[in-house]
Formats: sequence, structure tokens, C-alpha cells
Amino acid sequence: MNPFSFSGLLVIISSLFFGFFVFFRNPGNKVNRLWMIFSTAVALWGLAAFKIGMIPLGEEKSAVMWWRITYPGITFIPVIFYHFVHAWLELKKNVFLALFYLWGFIFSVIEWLPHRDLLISVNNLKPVFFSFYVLKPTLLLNLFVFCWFSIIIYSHYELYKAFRTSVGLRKNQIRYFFLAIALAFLGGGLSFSMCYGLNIYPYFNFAVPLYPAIMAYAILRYRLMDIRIVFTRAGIFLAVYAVVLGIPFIMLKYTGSGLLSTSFAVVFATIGPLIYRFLQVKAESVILAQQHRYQKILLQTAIGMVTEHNLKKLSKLIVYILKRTIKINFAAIFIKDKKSGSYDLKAIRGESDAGKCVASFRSDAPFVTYLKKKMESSFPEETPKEIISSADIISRAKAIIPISIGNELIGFVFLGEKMNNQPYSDEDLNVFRILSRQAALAVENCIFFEESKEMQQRMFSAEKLASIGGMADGIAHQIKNRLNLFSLAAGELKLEIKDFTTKHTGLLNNNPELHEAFKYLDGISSSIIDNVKRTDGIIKGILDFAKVENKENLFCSFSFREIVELASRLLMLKHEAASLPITVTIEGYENIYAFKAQLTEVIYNLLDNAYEAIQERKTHDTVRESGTFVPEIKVALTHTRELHIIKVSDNGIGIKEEDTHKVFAPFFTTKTSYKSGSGIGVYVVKRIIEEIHRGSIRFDSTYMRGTSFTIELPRPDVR
Amino acid sequence: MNVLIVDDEVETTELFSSFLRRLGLTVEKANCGQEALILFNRCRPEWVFLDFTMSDMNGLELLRKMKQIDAGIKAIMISGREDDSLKNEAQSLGVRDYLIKPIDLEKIRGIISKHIPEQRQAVN
Repeated sequence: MNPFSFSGLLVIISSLFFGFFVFFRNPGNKVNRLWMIFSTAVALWGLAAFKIGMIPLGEEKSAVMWWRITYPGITFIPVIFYHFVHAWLELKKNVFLALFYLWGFIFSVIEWLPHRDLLISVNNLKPVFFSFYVLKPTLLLNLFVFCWFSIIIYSHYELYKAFRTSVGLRKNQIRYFFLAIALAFLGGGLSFSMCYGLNIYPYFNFAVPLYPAIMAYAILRYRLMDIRIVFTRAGIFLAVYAVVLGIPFIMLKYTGSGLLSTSFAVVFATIGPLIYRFLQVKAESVILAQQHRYQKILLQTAIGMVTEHNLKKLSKLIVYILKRTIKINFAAIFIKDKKSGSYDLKAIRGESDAGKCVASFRSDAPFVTYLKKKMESSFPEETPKEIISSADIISRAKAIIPISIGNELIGFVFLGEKMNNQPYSDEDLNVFRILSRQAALAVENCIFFEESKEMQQRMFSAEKLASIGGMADGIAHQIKNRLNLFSLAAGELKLEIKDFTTKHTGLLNNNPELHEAFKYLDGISSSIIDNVKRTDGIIKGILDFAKVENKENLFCSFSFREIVELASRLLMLKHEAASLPITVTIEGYENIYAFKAQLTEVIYNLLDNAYEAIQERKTHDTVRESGTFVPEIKVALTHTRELHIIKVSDNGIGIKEEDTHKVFAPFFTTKTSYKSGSGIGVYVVKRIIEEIHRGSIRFDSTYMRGTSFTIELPRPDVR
Repeated sequence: MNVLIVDDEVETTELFSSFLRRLGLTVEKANCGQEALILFNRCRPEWVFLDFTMSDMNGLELLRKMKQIDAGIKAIMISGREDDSLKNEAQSLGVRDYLIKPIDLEKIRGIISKHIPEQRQAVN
């Protein structure tokens, strides 16, 4: 087998292998299909070289047959290549395509016509290099070669036009196409030179097998290696091995010592790879200096991110650094909200129309599902079209980096186009992986910090309450000591009066005025004792109220009816009322999970307001028309799967329309009675419900009809 | 019948002792723990009424010290605090009753007639 034949074999193997490789990567894609057909055509050309190279001189008929078999393949190489370019660039003009195919068919027919002077015939063959036959430069062959090159050049002209206007990945791909074509024509194109008496042995054919490999790489890979790197690596490789293998060769030639040159060859062959590696790193650090710089900055900041504890600031920091260091037109970050599960926009930078950007992705959005499955940086070239078009920001992003911990996607970052229109590279991808991990840690860190801060605040308010409880305890003790004295003194007074009256019965009988006076004093003493008892009752109520049984677990399950009763007892003491028109209805469980002392305060405050409202309505009614008003306060507890729902409603005076927005404001009161509070009751209620219980409170009121407050508390398993 | 009242408030001891004397008891009064111990040593009362909160020691400590002098001493504790753990501790020391301020004199009268039978006559 001569070298020409062998190169043909290599071309067949390489073309078919890479052709089908590209095809099977995405059989549905027209571009991939065309590339496979094109490769088959190239393989036919390789078959020509393979077979013709093996036919011994003198067997012209056999040579004619093989040229006829393979020439249609060669003919269609430019045609299908143009078709491929046409599809790849999504060109609209079909005239040239049809024309080229027509040309291809005409020539294929001509090639098979058995006329002796036409393109392929025994008469038109000439031997070259004393080993195989090629075609003579007939008029038809001239026309054929002219058209063949014209189509190839025209295809590359289209590619060049696209190269001028395209950016990023596409530009890089075209660069690779040009590199490949240069190699291919060094070999394949020069083969025609033999027909024209330019007797260069087709060693360049050995470059042709590289062509399908490079093209396959360019078509399939999304993040192409910087082409400068390819050239540098190849250049260094050739230079190093020329020296490594050349020096021993020269030594052998001049010294004639086989041993010396062989040992040198061994030494050089050993250090060769090291030199290659060293030079490669040096050269690439120069070429990619800018890229390396920003990758280094990104990695450094990635590590520094963990020190930021505020999620909002962290998000801003991340997009700021990404945009500034990679120099891209925009960057945006979305972080998962733990409660709703949706991914919300936390920060965006570099978009004049940031306001238009989608603010949130639902957890079941197709894009989110896609990213959760992929869990790797995603580039638009590999993202399904329907996902790209699902949101404006996805279609504008040139890279999407997921932020994840384990299997949980906690957020993602959108990166726009680089200002220098360079595509994202494999090195970028690696940096993004590290960045993503660091960002995930930093985000988790922030969320943890914010949660614990919130927790601390809750603890603090609980602590505050406990200390108020402790204070109340101390004050109550002091008051009890005073009350004790009142009690003893009044008791003494009573006994003294009793002793005196029993001793001096006669005196008192004779003096009715004195008798009256003692009776009066005795009555006052009894009244003091009575009042001491009542005051003590109030103190006891306050103590019950402030008592914090267990500081560690302030939340517990307890009877709702019990706290309503406690609150109403306090209320009766406050208003000196013998009874209150309160009805309690409980649906389902009587127990409720909450902060007992605080919820008692809530109920007390709401009942207090309700009672005041009823009293107000009563005075109103007596002024206007007396009679029919039956006051009532209703307290109801119901449960859903997730909530305890408490409703406190009255048929009192209600809230005037103009006051409704002030109800939850501190120091707002409409109460007119002397017992009116400071106006912070409902404000405190709201804070207790929202801040400590993470619940909600709302009200509904009609003036002169009544008010109803509804409280919703999350149940423990939901909390 | 000898009793000792200990309370850090002078008025309280005054009024309380006057009340107890009316019931026919011999009453000594002290306003702090130290004073109480001195008096206790001197008069050896059969009953003590102890306030819980005092400036130099609390009622339970005082009772412990008295018990070292006279193991058979009978005591009634009076406290402003309603505290179960204190109550339990007092009971473990053998306190006959644990009263919460403000004291109801009628209640005291009942207790005295219950615990100090000899006085029942005078009480009633």
C-alpha cells in the first residue's frame, strides 16, 4: 500500500467515524444529518484515494471504474458542504442550493457517460509518481474543478459574512471551521494539482483526517477552546519535538555515533513532555492573562462571600462582582424563598430595563425543573428552546449557574454576554462550579444568620416579658405586705371596737350618738377588710397573668377556655362587673398551641375593648331610644389543618369608618371612660400575634353594629 | 402559752401581737432574724409565727436555727409569695401552716383554736 492509498484509508475511517458521531449526538437535527451525509461524501473521496492508490499501473480499466464509482462523491462534496453551511447559518436563499445540486447531478451523469473523450475515460488517465492514475486536465475537468472550488469558496464566503456579524460562540465555531478547511484543502484540494502536472506527492492528504475531527468538535462543543490556545499548543508541540528528535538526528549525521545519539534521544524524549508542558503553561498564561485574572478575582471573592451575613447585601455583592470582573452586560441572582418555595429575584445589575425582569420563578416552573435536573451551569446552546422562550431573562442570559447544596437548588445566577463577545469557556465553567458552591454556602449562612437573628428577637421579647413577670412578682409582694397591714389594722380596729362596746354597754346605750359612731367605725373597718380582699384578688390575677412557668418552652398546648375564663375574671375585677355577657364556643379541640401568658393578654385586651364598646353603645342607646339592646360578646375557636382561628366579636359601638386604619396604631383609643387604657392594647395584640406567633390578625367593624377580630395562629406542625 | 412573732415590719408585729394577746397568748415580737434568735433563746416559746422575707435571713433559715435550739418548736409560716416550692420546703421542715399575706384574722383565729387547744376557750 502506498502512502496515497493509506491516507485514503485514514480519510475514510475518520470521516465516517466523526460523521456518524455527530449524527448520533442529535439525529433529529438537520445540521447534524447534513454533516453525516457530507462526511460520507468525503469518505467516498477517501475511498478513491484508497483504491486508486492500490491499482497497479497498466490496469486503466480498473482505475476508470473506481474513479467513476467515487467521483460522484467528490462532486457532491462542495454541494453538500454548501447545504450544510446553508442550514447551519439558517440562510434563506435557496436558489444557489438548487443550482449547486443541479450542477452536482449533471456532473455525476457526465462522469458515468461512457464516451471516450468525456471526463472519466481510459484516454483521459495519466500515471503519476509511477504508481497510480489521475485524470488529465481536459476541458470538462477544468470546468469541473473551477465549479468545485467556486462552490467551496462561495460557501466560505457565506461563512465569512456570518463571521463578521456573529459574536461569542458562533464566531469561535466559524474560526474552527476555517482552521479545519485550511487543513482539508492543504490535502484534498491539492490532490487536483496532480492532474495539472504539478507533481507534489499528496502527503498533505494525511492532514485531511483531522478535518472531520475538528469540525465535529466545533459543531458539537458549546464551550470551544480558545483557538489561540489550539495554535499555541500545536506550535509548541511541533517546535519541542522538532528539537527533541532533531538534535539526535543531526548528531547521528555528523558524529556517526549511534550510541551517543540514541542516548541523547532517550534523554530528550524524557524531558520533552516537561519542556512542552512548561512552555504551554507560560504561553497560555500570557494569552489568557485577562481571563485568568478575572477567574482569580472571582475565586477570591467567592471565598470572601461567606463573611457577608445579610442576604440582600450578599446578593448585590455577587451580581456586582460577577458583572464587574467578567465584564458582562448583566447579572442577576434568584434565591429560593424557604416559605413559598419560589425563586425570587434578589439582585440584578446592568440592565436598564431591570424593572421588566421577572421577579420570581415558581418552584414548579419548567425552567426550575430543568435546572434542578441538570444541576450544572447551563448555556443557551444546550438549553431546550421552549425553556429559553419561557422567560425573557433566560433568553438574554449567556450562562446560567445553579446554586445548590447537595441535591437542593437554593438559587441561580443569570450571566449576560461578555462585553468582548467572547464565549464562556471550559475554564469559566470550572470557576462557576467553585463560585456556585461558595455562593451556596454564603447564602445558607445568610439564611441561617437571619433566622437566628429573628429567633433572638423572639427570645428577647419573651425574655422581656419574663422580666416584666418577675418585676410584677416583686411589686405584688410589696403590695401584699401593705395589704397585710391594712388587714391587720382593720381587724384590730374591729376587735377594739368590739371589746370597747362589750365593756361599756351602758355608756353606749345612754349615748346613741356614740353608739352610731362606733357602728360607723365598725362598718368602715369591714369595708377596709373587704377591699383588701378584692385588691388581693386583683394582684393575684396580675400574678397569674405575668407568670412564666417555663422559660425554655414558652409555647405549649393549653385549654383555650381556661385563658378566656382567666381573662374575663380579670376584666370583671377591672370593671367591677358582676358578670360579663361572654359566650365561648369551641369547635373541635379545646386545646390550642401558643404562648399562654401572651395569648391571655391578647384575649384580655380584645375582651376589654369589646366590653368598652358595649358600654359605649349602651350610653348611646339610652340617649336615643332605650330598651332593645342586648349586649353580647362572642369568643369562638375553630381549627383548620394548618391554623387555630380565634374570633372575638361584640355588638358594641363599632369603629367609625374614618378610624379603621388607625386601629392597630399605638396610642390610638376611642375609649371615653375613666378606665380607658393607654391605647396600646390592640397594638400590643398585633405585635404578639404577628411577631411572636407568626400569625395574623384582622378585624371587621360597622359603626353602631359591632366589631369582630379574627386571629389566625399557625399550628405547631406548620409553624 | 408563749408565742413569738417575727416580721421585719414593726407595725405588722405590733398589730399582730395585739391581736394574739386578745386571744390570751403571751406574745414576744422580733423584727429580724438575729433578734428573734436571742428572744427565742431567752423565752423558749412553744409557737413561732415567721415571716418569710426578712432583711438578714429568710424564715426557713431562721426556723432551721431555732430547730437546732429546740427541735420540738411548732411554727406557722406567713409569706407574701404563693410559691409551691417554698411551701413544700416549709412543710418538710415541719411547719404546721403556710399562710399567704394579707392575713385574714378570722382565719388565724381558726388555726389557733385548732393547733393550740388550751386556748380554745379564750378564742371562742
